[in-house]
Amino acid sequence: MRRQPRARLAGLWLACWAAASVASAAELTPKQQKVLDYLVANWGQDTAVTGIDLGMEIVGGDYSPDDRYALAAYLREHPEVHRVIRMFGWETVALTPDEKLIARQLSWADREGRPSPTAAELARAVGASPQAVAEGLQMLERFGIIRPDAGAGGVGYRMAKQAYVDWEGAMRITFMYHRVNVHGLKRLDTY
Amino acid sequence: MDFIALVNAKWSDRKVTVEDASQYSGERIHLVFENGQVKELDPPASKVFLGGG
Repeated sequence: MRRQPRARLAGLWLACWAAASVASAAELTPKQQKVLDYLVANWGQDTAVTGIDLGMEIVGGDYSPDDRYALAAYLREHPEVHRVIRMFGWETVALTPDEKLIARQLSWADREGRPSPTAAELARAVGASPQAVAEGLQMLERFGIIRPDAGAGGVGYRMAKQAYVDWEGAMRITFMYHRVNVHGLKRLDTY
Repeated sequence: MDFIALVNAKWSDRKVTVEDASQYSGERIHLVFENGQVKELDPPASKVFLGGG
């Protein structure tokens, strides 16, 4: 009889701590909110699934990879924000074109049971600089899309979830992009 | 309505540049449309599906 109130209190404390942790991870700064407001207003218009990176460029200002990460984490936790997120997934708007191409190469190697490509192979395949590849891998790991794997060979990464190995299919554009510039009118990513 | 349809209709009076990548190889593709027509395509051997019915 005495244990029940303590257990309930412990449970209540844990629930409050968990809720506080999720809430603090999901808070956006006013600067980040400005980008989110732009994206939410534009997603779905003219097939737009505009990425956070392009949104930050369009809104203008000094945005960093940390800002992009914060926005992506927020969208991962709040799919109710927009139908585009529910349809295509937070990853589709979180990743840059370079990161999507890097992820594709790693995903294909994983699916085909091949060693992961080397950094030089990735740079060549993706058409990016070695620095861009290194930064892309870092961000993909930070997002939890790839995981270190010493046995993978090459850059030493594999896809973190089976869903990222088997990502292709109808309405699945996780690692795809069409970056469109309608000159004099708008820039957007489309599906 | 996909963006190719927009290029042919709503944006047909605009120059439209598209940065893309092959679904099969991941090779980057650069396209420029003017008046709804493909004006530039790199690499030239890229196949562009323009829709239809």
